[in-house]
Amino acid sequence: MLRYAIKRLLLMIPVIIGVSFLIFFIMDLAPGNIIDTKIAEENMTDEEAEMLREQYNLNGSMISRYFKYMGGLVRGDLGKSYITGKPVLESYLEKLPATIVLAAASILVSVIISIPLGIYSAIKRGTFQDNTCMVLSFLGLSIPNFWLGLMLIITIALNVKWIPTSGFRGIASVILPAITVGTGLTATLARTTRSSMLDVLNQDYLRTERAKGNSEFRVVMRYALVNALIPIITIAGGQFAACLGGSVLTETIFAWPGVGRLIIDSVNSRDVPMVVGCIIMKSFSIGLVVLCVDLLYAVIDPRIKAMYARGRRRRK
Amino acid sequence: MKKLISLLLVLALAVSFCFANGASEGKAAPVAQVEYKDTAVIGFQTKTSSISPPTQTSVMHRLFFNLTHDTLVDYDEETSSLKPGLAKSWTVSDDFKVWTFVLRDDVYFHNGEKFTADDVLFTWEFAKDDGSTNATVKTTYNKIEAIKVIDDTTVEITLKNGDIDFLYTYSNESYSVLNREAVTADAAKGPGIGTGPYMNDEFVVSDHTTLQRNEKYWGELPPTKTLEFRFISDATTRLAALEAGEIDVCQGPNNTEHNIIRANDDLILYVCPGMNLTFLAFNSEVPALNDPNLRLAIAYAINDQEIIDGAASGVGSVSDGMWGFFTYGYYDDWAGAGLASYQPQNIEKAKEYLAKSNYPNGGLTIRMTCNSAWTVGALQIIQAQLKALNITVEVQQLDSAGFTSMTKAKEHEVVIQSAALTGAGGDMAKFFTAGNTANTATYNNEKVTELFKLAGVEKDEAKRKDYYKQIQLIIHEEAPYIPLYYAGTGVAYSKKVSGAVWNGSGKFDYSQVKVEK
Repeated sequence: MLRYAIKRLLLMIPVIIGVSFLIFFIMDLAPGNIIDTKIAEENMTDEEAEMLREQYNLNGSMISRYFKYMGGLVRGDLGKSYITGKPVLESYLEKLPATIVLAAASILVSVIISIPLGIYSAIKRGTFQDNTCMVLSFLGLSIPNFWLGLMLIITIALNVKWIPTSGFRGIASVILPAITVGTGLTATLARTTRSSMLDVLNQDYLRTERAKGNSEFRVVMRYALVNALIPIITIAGGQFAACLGGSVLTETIFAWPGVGRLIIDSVNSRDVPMVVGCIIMKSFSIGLVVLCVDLLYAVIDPRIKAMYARGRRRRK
Repeated sequence: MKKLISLLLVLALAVSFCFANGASEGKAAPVAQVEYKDTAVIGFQTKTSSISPPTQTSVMHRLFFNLTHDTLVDYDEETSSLKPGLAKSWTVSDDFKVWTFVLRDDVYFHNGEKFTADDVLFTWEFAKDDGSTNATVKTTYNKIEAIKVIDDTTVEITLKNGDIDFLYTYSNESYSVLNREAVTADAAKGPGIGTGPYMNDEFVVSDHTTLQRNEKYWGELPPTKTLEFRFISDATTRLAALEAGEIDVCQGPNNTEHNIIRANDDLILYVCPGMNLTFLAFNSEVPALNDPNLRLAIAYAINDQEIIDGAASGVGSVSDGMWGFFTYGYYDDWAGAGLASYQPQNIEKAKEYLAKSNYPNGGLTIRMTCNSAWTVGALQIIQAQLKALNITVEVQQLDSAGFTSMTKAKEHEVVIQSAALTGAGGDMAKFFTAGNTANTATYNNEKVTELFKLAGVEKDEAKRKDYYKQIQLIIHEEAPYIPLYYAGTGVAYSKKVSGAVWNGSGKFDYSQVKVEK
């Protein structure tokens, strides 16, 4: 299993090379550069603009800038922001805790809502209740985040004193943003739960369990759900990884100091080292989460664990 | 297992809520005397990225520098005049080249160092070399030939060329005095140490800035111990935070939400006439647009009030000239000079000018570019208004960087943009003389350039004002730019707040702000 994990981590290297090149290329194609955003704030003469261009090595080709950047990356240096002059990694890590908290809370909200909905729908398959549950889960997806966020602020935060309207101040402040992001994730997760449960519910071993006199609740929760968990975890893990990239709209509305806004602000000001650095960190963390999810399969499913063990024996 | 984890998390949440509740402050018994809070919380709208004055020139940065640092001379926005700061008095040579300042002897930096003339010299050396990459700051500092420390309280600044407006520029917070010892010891945090009424305590980019009172401040001591500035970019959320009592001041509420603030008895809305002018700039390098008659026709066909009402929710005031109404040498007696004001809209006059232009019957298409959602609205209104002249407007929206890249390459036709104007007459030259990135009209008129040069060294106020008047008359007749309106600067605050100074530039002064308990 360790070998597998190391192999997967090594596979991330070509991914990061590809991602960074793509971002460099796209940022180079975008109209405007860092000098232009600086000009928008300051009045510059042509010589001053030229001086800055030299400073940021903007006269050289995109390829030369890319290799210079990658040279730094090999030594673990993600570069410095054009705007603040601070190391990119430092800025990113500053925003990461808030992002992880929001991502985890959002997944929690999503899981709490969608798994019961999915199970219930599967049990009541084809009935009115089933359709209602699926419509409800879609409602979460169809309501735009910015609208839901503002409505929650106006209706809840203004009336409930201990829930703050915005910012990352204490654990109470995560409730509203987590509901906003979490409800948007329910549709996919609820549908996955439903179909995965449907596959399992018709299996013979469940009939056996019922025949043994187990209650229906126990049959569903203990035997059906656990066997249906793999696809659910895959989807939830993927959603968590995506959340780690930040949710720009929600972060903006709730003044949440996360990485999503950091990336968007940097794109708008053409702060290339910041954008590339953040995206590299983002792909790295997504890769890491996906790996963790894969390893989690072995914990949940004994068959997969046995497979790893068999592989080891065979190699011996 | 999963259920158990979920359950534990929910439990943890519940426990923390209880603590959040328990932390609420106890109510004090009512007393006759008004008591003030130790902390004032201000919600602001534009991100700040540095605590070092020479690196930033935006209004929001200057608001902070104004609290943490001091300049030799202060600019009083209310009276549009200069007043002493760290310098008690100053004199200037006849050619406006040598400025001599007598400095205060009782000022200390936040790190305990005494403020001396040497710090003035150091700030200049630091900023013009590697302390700043800000072009505006560098340009100003490069105008200085030398700074001579005569003694601890006397400093002499010699400029390369005489500049009558030097103090207007130099009074800007970006030229605040830094401390040699502090910056030498720590080049990153050192520039954040100044002589101002508040000290930098905590600065987290795009989240918050906390300032603590400087107990040894040389001027009037601030009444509030701590100022906390929270960056809340969404205006609706910012207002909600004010309504919920989390912040005491909400800067820049949405224009569309002014009615909500007015309806709330606990809140006060203040709208001041802004100093940010929104205007159209015509690229004179586009042959079709290099025609004063066509530009004048457009100027008279536009209805500014309609734009203010439609695109700015009625918050703003009509502008009739590219010269700020608060800028030195402002002139607006168009009738007295035999000219007609652009406003109110005058379609007859517009058609007269159009008849004299290269497109007597209209029929041309003009591409107008903007870089924000609300300027799109303004352009759409102009698009409708210019139909009366049979001129088709093609509206294009870009992001900020793309927009500037286009104007810099002079690939634009017409752009709508805003600029913060200042009190210095000479500062207007950036719009009307070649070699400035602000000159998006690519305007170049030798007479105007000459007049700016003459005014820049003229000691006689009447003559100087006359030069500026001549410039304004020329640009009124040639219309390289069409001024539209000044956007109003709004601020909403709790009824318990007092002592803050709100002004049109948006550089509010919180040094004396206090909040009733």
